[in-house]
Amino acid sequence: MDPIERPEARAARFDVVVGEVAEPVRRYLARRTDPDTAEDVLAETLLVCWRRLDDVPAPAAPEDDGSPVVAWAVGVARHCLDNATRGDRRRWRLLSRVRAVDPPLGRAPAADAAYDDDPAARRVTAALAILRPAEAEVLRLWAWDGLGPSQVARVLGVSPNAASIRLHRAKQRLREALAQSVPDGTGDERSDAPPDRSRVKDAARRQPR
Amino acid sequence: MTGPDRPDDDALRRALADVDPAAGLAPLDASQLRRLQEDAMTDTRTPTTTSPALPPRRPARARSRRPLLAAGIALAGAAAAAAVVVPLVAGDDDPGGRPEATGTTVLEAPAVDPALGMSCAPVSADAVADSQVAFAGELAAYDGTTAVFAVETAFAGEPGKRVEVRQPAGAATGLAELSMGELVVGEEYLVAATGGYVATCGLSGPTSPELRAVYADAFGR
Repeated sequence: MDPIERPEARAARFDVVVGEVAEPVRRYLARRTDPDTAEDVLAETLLVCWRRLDDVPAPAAPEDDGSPVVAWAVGVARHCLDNATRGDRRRWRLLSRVRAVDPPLGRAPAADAAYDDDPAARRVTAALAILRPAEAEVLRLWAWDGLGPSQVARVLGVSPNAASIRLHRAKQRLREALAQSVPDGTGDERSDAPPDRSRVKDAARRQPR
Repeated sequence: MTGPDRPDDDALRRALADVDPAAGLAPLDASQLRRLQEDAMTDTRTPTTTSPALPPRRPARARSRRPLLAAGIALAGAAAAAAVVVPLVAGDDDPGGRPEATGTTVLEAPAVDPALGMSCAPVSADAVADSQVAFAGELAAYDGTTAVFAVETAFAGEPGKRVEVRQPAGAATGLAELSMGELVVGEEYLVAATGGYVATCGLSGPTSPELRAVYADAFGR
């Protein structure tokens, strides 16, 4: 970038970036943490975008794979959120020394609780919960954040090929998990009988990365 | 690799979209966007994720090694596949070969790639838990390019009694600049490594209550 870029030009450039990334990053965070943390981390992410404006990828023509600018900003948000969560976990560890309870890891919202009256949605959340955290996260990035393999790769800091493979496998695993959770013709999709409750519980404890 | 989405991918995506927790989130209005933008431009805080370093869990670089001639190389399991050598005796024609004393583990600090300097990996138990070698040890010597640690506690792998961490050949920066923190002889450090490369970016460094807690969380002690 131009080392003597005028402040107004830089501000105008940031205006474009904010317009493109603020909403997707806000939604990315809303899906993964509580509202207060999401607000703080969004502000910090935009601060990083401003400070590192010269590192923001150049806007590209819209494509199915998603925006590289959004993916870059989501990658920043991911790190900011990890930092925020790390502080939360440290505080929780101190608390756990006096209270023997399961960790409230707070990264993934308790979405399944919101679908008590929606068996199909409950089945999807249960299937998502038994995937490994990394698999579930590439699916979220793909389906919720609208990112294709190349941009998922940018977020996770892996090669596009690796992201593509991960996404492909995660889709397969989700399909398998959904198939296993289909009730045998009763139409009664009971929330107390997903494929493997111990794995569900274990997965629910873990955080997506 | 996977090509365009398959038709049943659309159904899968729709099924997932139906459980999107942010589906009902109202978009920001123009004034909220403007406030966010202005706050960022006037904020004087230091962001927590701007220090140049490697991205999270970057796979160790592949590098070739000459066959090592050593009696009693005691490597087991996964550690045998790593470039952690205990002890290491390089071939005569290896220009970088430096014979090591028995019981010494040789590690290398990864070269910093400025192109990858987006943000630091988060310092978390998950990030160090898979390390092939991890230990607490006192910095016994440091000459600007090689740090020698006397191992006090091994958390993972078999680092032996002595570990040398070397600056990569041709690196423009010293070890201290490779995110290992200030290297002070006599101080205690926590070091993790995989594939022969030290985990930097805050994952290895001077022992602090915070880093000690991360290691305790990762290794259960």
